[in-house]
Amino acid sequence: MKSSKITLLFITILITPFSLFGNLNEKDKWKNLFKNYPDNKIVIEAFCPGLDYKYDVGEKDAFYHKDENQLVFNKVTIEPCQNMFRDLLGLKITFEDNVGNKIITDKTNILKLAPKIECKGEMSIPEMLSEEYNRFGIQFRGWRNEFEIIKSPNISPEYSEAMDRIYRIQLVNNCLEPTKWEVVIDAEDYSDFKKRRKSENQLNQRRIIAHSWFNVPMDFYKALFSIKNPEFQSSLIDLSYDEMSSRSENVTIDFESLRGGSIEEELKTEIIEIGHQSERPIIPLDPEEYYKKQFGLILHEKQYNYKNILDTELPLTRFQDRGFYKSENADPFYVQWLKHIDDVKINRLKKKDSNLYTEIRIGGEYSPYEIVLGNVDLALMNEQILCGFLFGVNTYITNIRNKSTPHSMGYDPTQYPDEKKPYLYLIDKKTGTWLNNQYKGVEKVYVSYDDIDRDIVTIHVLSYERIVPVWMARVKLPSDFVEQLRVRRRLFNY
Amino acid sequence: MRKYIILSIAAITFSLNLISQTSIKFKKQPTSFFYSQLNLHGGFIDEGNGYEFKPAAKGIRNRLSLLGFFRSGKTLQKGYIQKTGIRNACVAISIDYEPSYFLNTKEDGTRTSAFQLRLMDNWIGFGTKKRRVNFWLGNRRVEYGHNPRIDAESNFMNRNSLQVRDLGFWWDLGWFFKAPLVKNPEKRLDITLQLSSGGWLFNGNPSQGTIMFLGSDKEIKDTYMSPTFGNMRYNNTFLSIAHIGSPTYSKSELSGFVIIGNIRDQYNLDSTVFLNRIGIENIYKFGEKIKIGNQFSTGTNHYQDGRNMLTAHLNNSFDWYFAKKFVLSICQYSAIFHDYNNKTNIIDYSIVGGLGYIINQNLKLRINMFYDKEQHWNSRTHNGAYLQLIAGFGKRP
Repeated sequence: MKSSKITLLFITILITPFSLFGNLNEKDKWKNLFKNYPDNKIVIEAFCPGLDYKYDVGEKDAFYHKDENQLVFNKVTIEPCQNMFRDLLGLKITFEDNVGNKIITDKTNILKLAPKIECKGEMSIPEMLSEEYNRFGIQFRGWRNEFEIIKSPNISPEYSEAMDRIYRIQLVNNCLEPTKWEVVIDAEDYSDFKKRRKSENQLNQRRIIAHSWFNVPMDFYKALFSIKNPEFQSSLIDLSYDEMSSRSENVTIDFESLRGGSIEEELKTEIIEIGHQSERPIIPLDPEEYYKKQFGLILHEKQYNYKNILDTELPLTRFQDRGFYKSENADPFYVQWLKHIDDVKINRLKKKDSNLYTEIRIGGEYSPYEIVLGNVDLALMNEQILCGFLFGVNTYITNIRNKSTPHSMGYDPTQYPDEKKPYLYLIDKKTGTWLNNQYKGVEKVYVSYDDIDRDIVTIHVLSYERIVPVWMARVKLPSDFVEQLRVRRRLFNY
Repeated sequence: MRKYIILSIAAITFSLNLISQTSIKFKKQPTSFFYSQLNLHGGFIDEGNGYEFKPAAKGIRNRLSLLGFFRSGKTLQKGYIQKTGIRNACVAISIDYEPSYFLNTKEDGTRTSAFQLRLMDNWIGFGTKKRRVNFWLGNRRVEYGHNPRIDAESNFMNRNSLQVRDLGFWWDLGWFFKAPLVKNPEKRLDITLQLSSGGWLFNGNPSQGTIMFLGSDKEIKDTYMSPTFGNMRYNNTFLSIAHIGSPTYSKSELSGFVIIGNIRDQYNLDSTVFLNRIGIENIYKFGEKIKIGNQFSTGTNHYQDGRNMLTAHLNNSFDWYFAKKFVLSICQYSAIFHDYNNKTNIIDYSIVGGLGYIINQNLKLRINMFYDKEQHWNSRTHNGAYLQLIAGFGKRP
């Protein structure tokens, strides 16, 4: 007995230094991110395109760029925070304006701002394209004390009051080229709350009070990418958009591996409506589309429906330097191929712990292409929201929580198990090879329910960049499947 | 019905934030929903004198229930809860036909039928700034274990639940709280707390939540088609429950619970019983097809008349959803009450089984079979089979 205790003590003494070194190495690895920067701080200049910039998605606050010096955050400092955060070194990011007002997001889980390559082999190239050229990020909630505001002693009372209304910060890796990031600072304005509450349309109290773009250093970004994706070369980042696109176009998508199981059966669904056949009028689906319409970016002047939109030249503004849109850089395009999309098939997938995950195939007999959306858990959706799926595999979204724990049937995108990661692809129907959805003018698919009965699935396909709804369908699910979804919600509710 | 209400809270809570790039619809969706449900239930029962055809006097009665469910437009408009705010509310009542109601008794002691106005789920749900930290105020299902049913609507198996069997009542009026306790992804635990009235609105097993009734026997003039209040006297009762275990979204739920209360005595409504329980439950789910539930609790009962009993309760259940349209359910309950002063035992046993045919989400047909052997009720033995038709109309969460 005594000898076994001594042995245990000996082993503990022997192991302890190694485990300590293990932690130190991990910490050192993170600290290496800053080794080339004085005082372990990366200081970056940020840019704001100004009050006249009309491509901000949302309503601007009265204090948005009201003054060149206040609440225009043009200095960003990135440094390690003092304490380890969930076995990672969190970062402290400070945004500062010219008069010294600061907003600090401490313990930022910076890895959530690096793209995650979810595929292996040749499928990793289109995956890199989908992830990197997508806008995704994390949010910090004021009501959970996830950021700190330090006001300058010189701040005027009206600006001080405006800063008190700040309730959310979004830190975003934007969809332009690698290293371009954004910070969006949101305030609340309750001055017309009652009026908006009574309105038939959903416009909340959010106002963008500040919005800045900045470039993180390439070596820093590559190091982040390598930590997040140790199995990939960071030189992937060096590939240009066009190069990645052309290399991807011969890639055959292996849906079998993405499903994590086989197709169990095709559901006996009934197509209730195809938008371009019913000539359903196009209306904004969400507040972002509403604001784009208000700003004259989409659907202005005449009334569109899902039929005539397919014969319409859609405006598309390319990005320019520093990540701003310029209207003179418009590049019109058509999405006429969607005329041939007139069929929706929903397949039930076989998973080890559920047989209610689905794969939705949007195509048609005469369509050259097919949109494939898989690993969709229809039990999670409700009639109040639109669930937007982005092209790629588990492509990150803009509202990931900085601190998040998966805790239900749903998952934070950074925590999905492999076999349940949602995927969305545009493929050539004949060859099954990858197609660049952006070249074909589509960006996102919305899935929702018609109403609280949750028996009719509504699917919208949205255009690239301007997110105009360009195709839609309503599909009735079989009643036994609807009931099984109810059972799933009942058994696995929270 | 209650299950659906809980689900809606779950859906609106996590769906808004977790899956995909969600956006709230620009055109506001309805926030008020109304649903009614008709239950026709009856069949053959042998109460010791051979089989007779009767309307249901066990489990769900013949019933018309009305439900209103409301989402908070204010919370939806704001998009988040700053500290604490109302998420939703529910109003549900039913009109039940009770074939032999003890409060509608003839002079010779024969019980006769009555229409009862019952309170079901009536509560206001509150959310907090922390995800999954919610509480409810009102009349809700007693949190005596989880054990959800695959086919939950007006399910006959619920009559063998620990709530109904041990305490006597399914709902209670009070405060209900749910939150994560341990957030570590490897060993998550949730906590559920309840502090409630201990059966204030409970006035006997065949009339849970009855606040008013109309007698349907002409011989009893006082109550015949005359609205009569049920027994709603408050007897200084309370019920407190703490339940800690794996989150309900887990494939395998293992949890324990503690109950302390002074509740209305279901076997003598003029009296109360002080009880304490400690229990454990395990629920295992094979996807959405099979659910197995095991619950065990033990503790003591201290009655006003001086009796003291050591008691143990066991509930085992099995639900199987098969061939897309059918649900097979079996639920067994057994209990022993040991009077440690008089050295006597009371043993109750019941098994119920059912086969449900789901025509669609609003129309279901079930065959319910039961066998009860209950020493608590003069050692009676009942068995029989009921046919149940459930038809729903309207919108519900």
